[in-house]
Amino acid sequence: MKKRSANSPPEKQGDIFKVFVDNAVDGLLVIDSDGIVRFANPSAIALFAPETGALLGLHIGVPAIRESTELTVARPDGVRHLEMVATEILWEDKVASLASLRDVTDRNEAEKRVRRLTRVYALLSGVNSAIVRIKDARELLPEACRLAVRAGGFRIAWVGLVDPVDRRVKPVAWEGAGALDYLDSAPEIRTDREPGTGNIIEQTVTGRTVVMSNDIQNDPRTLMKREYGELGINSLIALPLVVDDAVAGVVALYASDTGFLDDEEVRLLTEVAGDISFALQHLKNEEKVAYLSLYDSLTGLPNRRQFVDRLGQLLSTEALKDGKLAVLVGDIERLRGINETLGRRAGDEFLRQMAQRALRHVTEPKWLARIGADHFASVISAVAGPDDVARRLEQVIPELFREPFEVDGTEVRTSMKVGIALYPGDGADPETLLVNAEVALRNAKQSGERYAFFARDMTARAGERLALENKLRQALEREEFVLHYQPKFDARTGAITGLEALIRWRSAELGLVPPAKFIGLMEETGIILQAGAWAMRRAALDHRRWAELGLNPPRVAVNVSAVQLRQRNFVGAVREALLSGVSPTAIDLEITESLMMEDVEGNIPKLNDLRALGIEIAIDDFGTGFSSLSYLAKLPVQALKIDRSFVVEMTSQTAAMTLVRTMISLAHSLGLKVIAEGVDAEEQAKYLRLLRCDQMQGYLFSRPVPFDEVAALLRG
Amino acid sequence: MKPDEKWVLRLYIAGMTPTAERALANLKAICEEHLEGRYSLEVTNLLESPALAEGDQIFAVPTLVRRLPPPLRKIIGDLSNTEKVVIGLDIKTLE
Repeated sequence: MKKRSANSPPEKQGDIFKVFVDNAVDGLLVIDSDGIVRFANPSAIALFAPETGALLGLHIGVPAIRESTELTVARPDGVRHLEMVATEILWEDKVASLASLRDVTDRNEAEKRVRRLTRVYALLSGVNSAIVRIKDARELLPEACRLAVRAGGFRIAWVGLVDPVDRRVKPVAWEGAGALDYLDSAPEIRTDREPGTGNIIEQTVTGRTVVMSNDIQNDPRTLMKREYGELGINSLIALPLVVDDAVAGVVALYASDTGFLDDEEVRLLTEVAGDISFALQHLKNEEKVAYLSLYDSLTGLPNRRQFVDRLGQLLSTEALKDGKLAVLVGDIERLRGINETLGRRAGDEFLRQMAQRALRHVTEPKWLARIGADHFASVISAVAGPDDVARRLEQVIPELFREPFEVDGTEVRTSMKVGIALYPGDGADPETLLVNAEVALRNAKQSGERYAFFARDMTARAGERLALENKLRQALEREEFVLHYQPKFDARTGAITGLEALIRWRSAELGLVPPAKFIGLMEETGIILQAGAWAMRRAALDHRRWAELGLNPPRVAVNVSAVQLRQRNFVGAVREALLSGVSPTAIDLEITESLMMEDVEGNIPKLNDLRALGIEIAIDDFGTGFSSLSYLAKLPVQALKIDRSFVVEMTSQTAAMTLVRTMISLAHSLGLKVIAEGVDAEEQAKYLRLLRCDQMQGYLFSRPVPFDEVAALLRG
Repeated sequence: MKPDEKWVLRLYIAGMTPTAERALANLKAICEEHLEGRYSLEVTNLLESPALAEGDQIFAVPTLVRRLPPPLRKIIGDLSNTEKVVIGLDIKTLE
């Protein structure tokens, strides 16, 4: 064996290889079968032993890897991560390993950061959609924890709420391997310490601030270092949940990496905690008033409001599109008599018993409601027709009242009259159905029948609708529709920045018909598709006419209805309508928030295509739907229009003011313009200017005006 | 080497990184297959007790050290190459 000097490859491999090896960026090591370093190039020495420069003969260990492995080395300048690949070679006639090493610390950091942020964004969007979906804190908080672990890349997540009695923070939801044991062994979390003292969670609560540690093992504030070590946890962040302006709880998230939390991540997590707080606030308020506002306090049954809501939900479900259902309103006979002879208390007791008994005859408890003093309502779904409903009632009513009620030792015998309205024939919305069922009930009482169907003259009604529908179609042909334009004004300069087109119907026979009278029917009959296209074309033509008058008109926004947006070829329809007018670049669209959110994923591509046509999109009636922040950021929209209801309330209610302020700053942070609708008073305008609202629209500035008046306004 | 001899293995890691987790899982599987009931396994997290590494001269982690039986043997990497681990630990002589 020849004697070799350090850093020299075997001579037989030639000088050229020595040059390669000495200058290789990667570190190269030859490790023999005892794990001893037999050769190291300069890069390897720089990686492992930059100070001593000596690696030969050291016992590093036999590489036992298949593909590449990441090694960690502690160097005086910090921890570095090396990617190692090993190949078996013959070294001086013996089997040895050739290990090639590359410092990937910086690359890892960049990759990790991107991966981590992707995860936190997934967490944020997951939590937001959970908030929209889940209306119960008992479900929402575990879901948030689950998302933090599954999507957010945290090892453990838990949420604790402040116990109203002993003021300790009690874990209510958790996720992650070892979470439960950890929480069991954790000391109790007090909320009464001096701010800034105690452990990290306590500091979060008392200081009402985010507290974090990127290196738990070396942090004096952490008490359970051993437990964290065993769980492989090195970073921790605790965020306060603020409800009613007080700390209501804590979200605690634990990660395995040290330095897991950078500024961007903390910012996003703060947003997550803010969203959860918002949901808790909302749920709390809802819980407080829900029972009172949605249930009848006497019987515990849903009240009229809840019944209408639920019926509305049912009517909007896809499954019902072709189905029929019956809305029933029942009137308890002789209830007044019971009250008068046995007393009000007995009457109440009777009603409770009545409710209990009736519950046995409905498919689901939610479909029995007390909607008035002696009125109950129910729904029978999937009915074949009036005969089917009649058959069921013939059976149920006698059954319900066969046995007498016993109230205060007195037997009470009574019965019920029922009015029935059938969907869709007798009404398309819950209120109409309920009112019509009540009309039918009056008929039943007058006629002495046990039940009666709503029976306005069907042919006459259908005829009326048909006539109106025909008039609408003719109106399109005869150009009876006109557009009025309501200007939007720059909040600072007062200049006109845009126009919103609003449809009006000047009927030759009916006179000026208000939109409320015909938009609904247009949507039902699909005429809205033609009318909508007409409006876009008209707006584009009007825009050109103003331009031809030398007026430099601003952009014109046209409203989009649900029926239009749901068209598969909505974008094509818009393009066609606009191209037959003028170039589309002057036309914008306004889409209501609730319509936008109805099918966000489906709408995003449509909106992107519209953007490509040069169309700007504004979210209309903002604040009335329940936008998830993450979707808002994803939507290709350029402006938000704050719903008029907030503008009206903002000067009298601080909550509305706060909402408006939040909406404006949210919109600005997403790079969106903000337009306030319904500005009718100087005071509102003043506040909106203070809140840096960009544009305003309302009667204070201008009502919707016809073409010529717009021209006059533009002339100034 | 006597079959009832006690094996003492120590795996050095620096935090439960994915590589460390893989190494530990691979090692446990190998031990269960070849050394069942005859080994003890310690995991030393150098982030917690850096001083422990000096006795065994650890350059990079994960490193597996066979402390007993002598002589001391070292294996580096995620231990995914089972054959190398078995040879490196000299387990074969047992069988």
